[in-house]
Amino acid sequence: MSSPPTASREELRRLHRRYREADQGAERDRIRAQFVDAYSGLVHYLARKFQNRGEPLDDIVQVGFLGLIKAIDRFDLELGNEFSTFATPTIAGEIKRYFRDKSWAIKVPRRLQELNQRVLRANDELRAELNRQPAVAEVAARLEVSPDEILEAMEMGETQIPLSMDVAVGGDEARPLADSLGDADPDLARVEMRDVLERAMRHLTPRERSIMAMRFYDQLSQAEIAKRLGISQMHVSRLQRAALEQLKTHIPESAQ
Amino acid sequence: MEPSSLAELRIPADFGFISLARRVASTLGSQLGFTLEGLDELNIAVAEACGCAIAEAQQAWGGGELKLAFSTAQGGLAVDVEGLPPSQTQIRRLAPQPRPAARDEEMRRLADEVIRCFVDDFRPSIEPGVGRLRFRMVKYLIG
Repeated sequence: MSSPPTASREELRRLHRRYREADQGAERDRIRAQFVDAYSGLVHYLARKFQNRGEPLDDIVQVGFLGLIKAIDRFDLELGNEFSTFATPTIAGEIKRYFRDKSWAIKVPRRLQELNQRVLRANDELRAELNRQPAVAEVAARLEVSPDEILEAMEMGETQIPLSMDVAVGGDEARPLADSLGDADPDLARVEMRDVLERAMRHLTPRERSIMAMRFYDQLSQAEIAKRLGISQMHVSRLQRAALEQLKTHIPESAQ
Repeated sequence: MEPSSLAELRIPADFGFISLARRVASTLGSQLGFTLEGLDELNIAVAEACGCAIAEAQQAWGGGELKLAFSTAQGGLAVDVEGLPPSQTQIRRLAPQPRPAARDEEMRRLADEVIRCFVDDFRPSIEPGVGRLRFRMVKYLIG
C-alpha cells in the first residue's frame, strides 16, 4: 500500500485554508501543485486498484490526478472532513468514469477471451513438451502474465464471454440465438424525427406554428387555412415559406 | 427479504489467498446477475477488506485465518469478512517470524474509504474485548 500524504495533517489543513483564500492566479496554482505532490500517493494507491484492465497504469494515474484536482477545488475545510475522505470517492469516480467511457464491459471480456484462448494453447503446448499437465505458474511464466490473471481468464472465459449469434438455444426446438432477437423498430426513427421537429417548432411564432400544424398535421390546403385565419392565400403561402426556412435552420443537417 | 446464506470460505491469513476470495465473490456475484462492472467493484472491495483483515491477523497473531460468509441481502450480495486466531495445531505449525509493524491508522481509514467507494453499504467493527476486526459489505444489483 502506498503511503499517505507526506505533509502533516496540520500543514495540509493550513494549505487548504490558504488555497480557499487565494485569488485565482499564480498563488493558487502553486498551492494546487503542492497538493498534487502531497496526495500523489493517494492517487497512485487508488489507480493501482484498477490495474490489469488493459489500460496503462500511467494513464489511470493521470485520470486519477484529474479527479484529485476536482476534489481540491470542491473541498470545504469548514465541513470538518478529512480531505482524503472527501477525495477518495471523487478520484475513484473519475477513474470509473474513464473506464466506463472506454466501454469497460466490452473491453474486459475481449481481453480475457484472448487470454483464455492463449492459456488453452499454452497449456496444450506445455503438456506436450513436459509430458504432464503444466502447473498454473508454468503457464503463467510461458505467457508472461501473473497466475492470478490466468485464473481470472479461465473463470471469465466460462462465465463472461459473449455468446455467438449462431449458438443454438431453446432445448428440443433449438434455433440460432440470432433468430430469437428482434430487429430495430422502424418507428423509432419516426419518434426521433418527431422530437427534432417539435423542438424546432418552438422557434416559430404562434401564428406560424398554427399554420404549420394545419398544413402538415391536419392536411388542410392553403386556401382552407386562409379561410380559417381570415387572411389571403398569398399571405398563408408567404408565412408557410418563412416558417419552413426557419425550421430548416433549427433542424440538424443529419436529420434533414 | 431475509438474508440467505450462499457460501462460507475459510482461507489462511495470507495475502496470496486474496485471489481465492475474489474468485468466490465473482462466481456468486455473476450467478446473482451482477454486471461485469459491478463484479469488478465488488472484487476491489473484497480484496481490500481481506487485505486489511490479513494485515490485522498477522499483526495480532502472526497468522490465523479469514472467514468470509457470502449471503443474499435485499437484492444484493452481502460479504462478511472476519479474522480468526490460529488454532492450536496451526500455532504449532507456524514458524516463528517477525510480526509486521502495526498498520498506520491513516492507512486503515483510507482502506475503509476505498471499500466505501465500491459497495453500497460498509460496516467495519471491532469485537469488544477480543479486538477482532470484522467487515460487513453489501453490494446491490442496482446500486
